[in-house]
Amino acid sequence: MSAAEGPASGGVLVDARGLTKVYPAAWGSGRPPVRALDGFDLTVTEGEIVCLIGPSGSGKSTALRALNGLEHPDAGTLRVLGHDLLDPELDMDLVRADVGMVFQHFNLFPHRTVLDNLTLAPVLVRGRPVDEARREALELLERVGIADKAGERPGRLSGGQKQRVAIARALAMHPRLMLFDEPTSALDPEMVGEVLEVMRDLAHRMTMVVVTHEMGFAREVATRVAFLDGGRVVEEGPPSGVLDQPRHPRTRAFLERVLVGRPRPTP
Amino acid sequence: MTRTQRRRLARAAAYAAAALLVALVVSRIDLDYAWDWGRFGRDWLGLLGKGLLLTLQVASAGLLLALPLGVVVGLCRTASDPGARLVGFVHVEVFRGTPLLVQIMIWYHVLARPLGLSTFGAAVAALGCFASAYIAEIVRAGVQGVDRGQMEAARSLGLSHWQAMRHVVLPQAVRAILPPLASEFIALLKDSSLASVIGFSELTYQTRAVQSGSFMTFEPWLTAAALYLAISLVLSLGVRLLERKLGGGAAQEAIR
Repeated sequence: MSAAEGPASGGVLVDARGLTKVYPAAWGSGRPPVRALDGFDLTVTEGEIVCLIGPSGSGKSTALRALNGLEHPDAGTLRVLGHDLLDPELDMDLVRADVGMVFQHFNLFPHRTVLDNLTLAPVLVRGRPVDEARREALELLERVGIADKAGERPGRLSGGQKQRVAIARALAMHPRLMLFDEPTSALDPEMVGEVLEVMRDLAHRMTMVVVTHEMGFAREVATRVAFLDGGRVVEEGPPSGVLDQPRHPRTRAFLERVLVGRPRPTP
Repeated sequence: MTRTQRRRLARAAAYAAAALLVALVVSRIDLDYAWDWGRFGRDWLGLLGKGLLLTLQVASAGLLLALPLGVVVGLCRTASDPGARLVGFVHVEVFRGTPLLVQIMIWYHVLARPLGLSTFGAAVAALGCFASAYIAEIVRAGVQGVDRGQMEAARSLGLSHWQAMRHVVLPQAVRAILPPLASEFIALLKDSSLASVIGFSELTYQTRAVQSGSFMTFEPWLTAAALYLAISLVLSLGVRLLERKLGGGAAQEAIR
């Protein structure tokens, strides 16, 4: 690795500046194009847990998906793990191998067993020996509490179990950064807890960017909360600030909507 | 009259109409025809057998060409690279947009000499390229039918596009691809009869030869039809078995 592409200096893992992404309207729909990102800035340093919150359509998911190249911003600068993600010459696979992603709908590989879901990428991408990858996969499944399902197909698992497998699958690549895209939004309420528990446990030793509607999780685990609206970060800071004493009126309006009926700790 | 009764009546009427139609056609067939299965079987059936063998050869060789070619072209059509997509598009449109009979003529009269193809080679190339266009569309539809999240998850783990395609997307697309692929195999088998026009002595060619040599018409053509049908049925059953074998495992669970 050259100095320019090596590990980011000062432990800065994500450095996004002025990201813009416009989805053109469907031809003939008569609707205006959608500005999903409109001057999005975000810096994430090693060890941070950053939660992105905001109303639907605020650009949270687009921003997160830009961090591992699933979306391509039209303008701005974006460095992830020291790589310039908007450089067309960049081998995106190299970055993606080091950035774990957990999706709202799990996206487990249904034709492979749970264990094979975990070993596929380490063997194919990292070239690890199969038995070594399997051994480590079993350890990871143990850690997320589903080692007994290693031989099952994902279809036989509950939503909560699926998402725990998805987290273990991402961890099997030894990522330096983990991205979570609304990891509990597709779960039945009684399964949210077990997934958050795994994420809470992981937060001690991983840098994470989490798009979430779980304000309790954000308050407890996040080192920083960023509130997005209209494709940009409107307000950010420690959870005690953003969630409990929001300065921006739009943050306040959003929090009032999502926290309706829940006790809010007094400052 | 109740709904059920009405339905029963309608069904009975449909059956009756179909039976009447068949009876009408059969009644118009030349009943004075001098059947002679004995002579046909003794003197001519062997020629049809030879033709059948060549039909099997040209159809399987065409399939061996069409399948990999169709898969590659189909994947090209789903690629992100615009050049690959264009190549796929042109391939499909050219081979799907012209009559097979015309293509066979071009392979035989225009391309066979510069490419050094025998009659058999020209027939295989024509059938293979023609079928590959349809197989490409089948593969494309199958691949596009797999949830986009599967490709995203695989790419997020660092797999390349082709690794993700091979290990994650294609295995899940196979089940959707198999039934239309079976139809395409059968179409290829039947289309091989067109190779008779360039003098390739497959089943249809031999049947015509038998007709002109023996002055029999009913026996050779009915036999040829039965032989084609028999191979089609074997193909159908084979694919259905394969489907059932694949169906037990992943496919059911692919539906979240």
